[in-house]
Amino acid sequence: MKRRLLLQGGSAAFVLAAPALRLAFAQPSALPSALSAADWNKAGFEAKTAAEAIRQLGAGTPASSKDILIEIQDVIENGARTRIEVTSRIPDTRALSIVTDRNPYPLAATFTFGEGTEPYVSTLIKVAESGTVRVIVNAGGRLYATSRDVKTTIGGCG
Amino acid sequence: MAEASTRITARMRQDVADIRALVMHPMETGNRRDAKNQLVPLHFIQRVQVTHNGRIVLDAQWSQAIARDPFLGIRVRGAKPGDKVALAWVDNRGARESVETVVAA
Repeated sequence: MKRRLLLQGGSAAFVLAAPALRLAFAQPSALPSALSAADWNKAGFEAKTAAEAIRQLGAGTPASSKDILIEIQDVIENGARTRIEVTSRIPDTRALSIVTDRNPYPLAATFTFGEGTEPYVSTLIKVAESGTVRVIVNAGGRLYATSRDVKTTIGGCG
Repeated sequence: MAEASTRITARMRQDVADIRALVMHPMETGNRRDAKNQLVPLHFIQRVQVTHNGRIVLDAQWSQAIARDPFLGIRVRGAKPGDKVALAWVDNRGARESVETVVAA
């Protein structure tokens, strides 16, 4: 039955792949529904400037905010593997995006939070060269932004 | 799957579940050249979902700018020991994996 739902909802290529079958037949109660790469902000991720990437988030121009905390090294030791921790203190934060201005494709990721999830994320990103790292928060349908200038000694997009 | 494997842990910290996941994945940018000077094709995780007792607590879209062997840490309120936490991802080639764990005290 689960498999049939997948067949109806997903592309045949995904369904026929062995890992998809494993997902379909594993304990369904707690597992995420079949993920589709269709729900992916292609225009945003293929944008080549930060301004265009932010425009493709589709909620207008961000207002500058001091309530978004970015933890990242000021001088990045390894641009291929840079720890970034973000916390939003803006009420009703629904999503946050990481935008690295000097990367070939600035939009690195968008994280959308479910109810009860703290507006916090910790991850590792690639930073190609010295420049600005921005975090754009969507709170209540409006965008807010904070940025940090970082320096790299070894870039990370090779 | 030869190239990827996913590990997840979930542990209570006060009243919040601290969820951490590590995926073994090459996260190729498409710009890297191999030993024969050939470009290695773009290969990266595009979508990630985390659920708590079946409810979506995080829905992420990633690019190739997430580091190789991605790490993800999130914090979920309203969880208790024994709850089920699961993570699933799909990459740009349609490969996918999912893992499940229970929240530790």
